[in-house]
Amino acid sequence: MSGPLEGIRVIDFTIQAFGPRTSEYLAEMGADVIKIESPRGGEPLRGVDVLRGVPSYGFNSYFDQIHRGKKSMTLDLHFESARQAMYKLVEGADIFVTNLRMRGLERLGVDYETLSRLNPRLVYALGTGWGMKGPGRERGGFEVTGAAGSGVLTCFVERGARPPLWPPALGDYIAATYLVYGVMLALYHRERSGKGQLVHTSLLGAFMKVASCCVDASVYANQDMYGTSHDEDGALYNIYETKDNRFIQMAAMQDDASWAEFCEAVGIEHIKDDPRFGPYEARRKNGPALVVILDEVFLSRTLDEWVSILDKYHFPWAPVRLFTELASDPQVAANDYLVTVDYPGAGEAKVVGVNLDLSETPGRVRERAPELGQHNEEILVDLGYTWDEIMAMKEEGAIL
Amino acid sequence: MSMPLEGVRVLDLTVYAFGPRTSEYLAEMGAEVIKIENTETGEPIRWIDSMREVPVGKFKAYFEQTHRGKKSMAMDLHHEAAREAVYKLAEKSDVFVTNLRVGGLRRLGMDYDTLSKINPRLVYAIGTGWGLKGPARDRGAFEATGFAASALVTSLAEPGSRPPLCPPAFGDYTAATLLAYGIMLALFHRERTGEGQMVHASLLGTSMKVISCCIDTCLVAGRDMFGQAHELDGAFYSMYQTKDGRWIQLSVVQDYRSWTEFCQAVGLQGMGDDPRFNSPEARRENNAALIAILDEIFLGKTQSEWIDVLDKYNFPWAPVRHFTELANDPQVLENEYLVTIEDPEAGKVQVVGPALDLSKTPGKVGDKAPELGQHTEEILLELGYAWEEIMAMKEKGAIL
Repeated sequence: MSGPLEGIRVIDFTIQAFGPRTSEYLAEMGADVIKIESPRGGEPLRGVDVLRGVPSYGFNSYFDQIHRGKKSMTLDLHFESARQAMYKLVEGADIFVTNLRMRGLERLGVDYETLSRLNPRLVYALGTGWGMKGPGRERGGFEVTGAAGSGVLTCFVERGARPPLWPPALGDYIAATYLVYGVMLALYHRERSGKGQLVHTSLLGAFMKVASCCVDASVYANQDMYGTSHDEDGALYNIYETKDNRFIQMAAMQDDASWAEFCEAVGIEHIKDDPRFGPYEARRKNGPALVVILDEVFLSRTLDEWVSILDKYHFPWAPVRLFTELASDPQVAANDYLVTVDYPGAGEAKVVGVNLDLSETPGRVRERAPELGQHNEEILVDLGYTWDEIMAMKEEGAIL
Repeated sequence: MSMPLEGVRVLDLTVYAFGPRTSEYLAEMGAEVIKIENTETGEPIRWIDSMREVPVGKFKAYFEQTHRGKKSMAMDLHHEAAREAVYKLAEKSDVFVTNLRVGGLRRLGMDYDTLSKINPRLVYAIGTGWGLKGPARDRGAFEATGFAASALVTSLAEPGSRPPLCPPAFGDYTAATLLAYGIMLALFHRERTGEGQMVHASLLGTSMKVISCCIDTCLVAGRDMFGQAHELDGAFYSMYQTKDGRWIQLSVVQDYRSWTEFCQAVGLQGMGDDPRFNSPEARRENNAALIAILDEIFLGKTQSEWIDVLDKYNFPWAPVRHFTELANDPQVLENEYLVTIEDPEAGKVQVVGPALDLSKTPGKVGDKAPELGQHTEEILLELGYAWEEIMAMKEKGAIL
């Protein structure tokens, strides 16, 4: 069974995370992705050896997971010969993905106007930081700027409190998910009409989209939404600390049936019919008092003990996991949310899987990410270049 | 200009957020979306009166933004007659979207096996909480459980401290984005082969996907990643408090390039001469001292004053916005990340737009969300039902 994008060719002219993640989604679904890198150093992420204090121990996961299965070509587009090679590639391609800045793309002759003239069927996908218009369109974006500029960050904390530091790549990956949906809309349209087009979203736009529940309501009410305070939150939709300084997320509903099940699960049947908590309205009103009771209840056992007890209950709850625990989580394993890869030189590693199931045409985690310029010759020869032409390009520094 | 999903018919059997957001993405791109609601209360979100203390007024923002442009049929699927009507619709539909539980779908005869036999070309999209397999597959879920179980939320808090609750619907909408991408992959495959299939994503799987950068890194290193205290942040990738208790987020990752520009922007004098800060290595080593200096500098102006100062600089920075401020943000308005719609009851309202640009086939924010069962008769008539049959169904309670 092959992926749905078999035979689709993608030219990847991206850097960092937003762009590469977008085209890696396509690679996982069977597309042929050629990444164009600069001969001098290539993709900046190749050099990352530590992430938030966690070292890479020789296996650069950050780079690897968004370059698996891609081919790498080095082309310095300041050279005419390299640019011509790029145009030949684009003529035969279905999709072009980039997150370089618009002015840079224009200067290098790989903006949408230029490439769409060469290939009117091309789907040109662009990711920006702030949008293609507006006073901030030329400002650099890094994933957290989307979370900040959209209001999302403020909604994690109480009013006035310092918002948390944003985790690596999370913002880029969320935006990439939206952009790749757009790529598929355009590809679908092309099947029906024969026409390519420009597809674009930005970190700001994508974040506003996934926070649109908060945005629309706040803008209309002219009242901001903030994060919650543990003590004042709903008692059944809250995070509780356990005896071993771990945390457990409760997300039970407030209705009476759920309340009864919850009391049994957590061992508070003695207050199930307490007038403060038994009736639905009282339960809502006396949330803070219930939180205090539950604080003590959850502190009485370790997280593992709670997981064993709650395992058979079906109301929504979850342990607040640590990343390393995912490797032994049966739920994760059963669904292939982690898969094992085995790369020569790096040994076995567990990495996040496709996590998107298609019953007829499943995706897959691809082969190891390429070395810088690994596929130069193979691709140029494929395009019809002679060895002399290839050597000449190497000598002038147009390619590695 | 046409829309990419014109002529595509979507059957929607969803509740709350994950499912409805998935099909709303399709509606925004021109699909006809028919939502099947139960006859008693319909979609639960119709009845939300406030979220995080932001009230709902004449304009039900939460409900509208995942139901705009959809049609509503109110039917009780426990009745054979109602199920038959849905089967007739399924024969003529392209996509079916649901996030009801697997067991429930089977009992109602709305599972993949049943519907794909009726229509082998159907793309059947299902969103679950935990995955289709594994010990927790029957457990209820809300987005908070996905974020907890994937460890995503631990990367937002320092080790041992209580992680935050994510903003409402944020996790659901992220998962909906991935599922919508999956639907498009399946539709694309169907254009090429005529074959439908099942598409699935879960809250757990999606959370892991968007935080996969951290997961892969941590699993290789055997070490966990956490949030970080401000004092331990990289000085150029941190958040600084302003005089008026607001925040400015810096994301100047390539500090060696932007350093001069940055010093000029924030008014850092004499740094070139200070051996603690005159090289990237020195700055890294004396990071804590640099943070302390920047803390003081940023406290010297209000957020608005800082925005004026930093506005002309293109290194990545962002004001940490509140949601209400988006309404007047020129960057947001020029990119149509908020658009103004005319609501029959509330008048002019600003809501989040498609935020995904397609140059030839742009999406659009649909019309008002439907009343419960607003389109039941219209659609049954279209299917060829006679008035007597429709009345009989009403009398039985099979439809509203």
